[in-house]
Amino acid sequence: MHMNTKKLTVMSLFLGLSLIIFIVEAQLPPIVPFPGVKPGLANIVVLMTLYIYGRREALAVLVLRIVLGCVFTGNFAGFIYSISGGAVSLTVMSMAAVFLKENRMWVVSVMGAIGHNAGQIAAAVIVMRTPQIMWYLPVLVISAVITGAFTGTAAQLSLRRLRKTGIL
Amino acid sequence: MSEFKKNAAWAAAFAGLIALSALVMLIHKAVNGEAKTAQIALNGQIVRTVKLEANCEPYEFTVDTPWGKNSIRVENGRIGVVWADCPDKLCADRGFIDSADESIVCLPHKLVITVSGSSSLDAVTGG
Repeated sequence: MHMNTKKLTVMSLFLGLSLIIFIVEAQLPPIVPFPGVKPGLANIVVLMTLYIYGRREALAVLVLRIVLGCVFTGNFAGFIYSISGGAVSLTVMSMAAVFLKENRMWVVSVMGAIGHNAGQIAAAVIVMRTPQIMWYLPVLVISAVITGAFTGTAAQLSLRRLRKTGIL
Repeated sequence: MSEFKKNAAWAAAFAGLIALSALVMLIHKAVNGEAKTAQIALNGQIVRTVKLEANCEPYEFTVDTPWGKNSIRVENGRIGVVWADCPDKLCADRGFIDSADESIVCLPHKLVITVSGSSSLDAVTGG
């Protein structure tokens, strides 16, 4: 991973930004009475990092955000679910980003959100040893399409604005 | 293909995925909508099974897990967590469940409540 001062600064800012978004989102009351259904706004920053720098940089922001997020929210029970969801999500998004350019980031985001929820369900099935939890997947797929399209569009518009400023 | 058409094609594909998911949910609900029991599992082991009958006297009991406590209420063919000493209370917020393979999950206490009927699908899927 090639690193210079500017890139280090931008990535640090992005890590801080995603951490703040994650913590604020964790404080919001649930919108719908389904556990596991949440906006996933922190992924906006990871997706932007993926398109600005690449998959390794996005992985760095994602993993550090998850670890620090557990520390700051005190919710270590959620670590295994965050990390497995995040790993599947970023793998799916990295592969999709090869074919889909910046004007289709929302599509990549939806795929990543579905991957995230599938990864979490898989982790829950293994940890709880209760395969019936898989019947919850359709609910999470529906929510992933909606929230993924929303966060992806947010990332896409933010990145377009950011490129116009000439900062990047 | 124009920019708009490409986005529309993807949107259509995702709408199809939503429809498919909804269909799976509906079919699953239709197949399993029979006489029901609720299983309470701790860390994957079923610790208690209760019948969910439409006109039974409501009752509550508490499950002591090594990680904390959950108060569970059974009433009118449905089951729910009414109180828990876990930090997020997601299990209590979930409310009551009454149909097959709905579940209440309390991650901090490794507690899972599932509802199932005695349908053939359960035998096939080993549920």
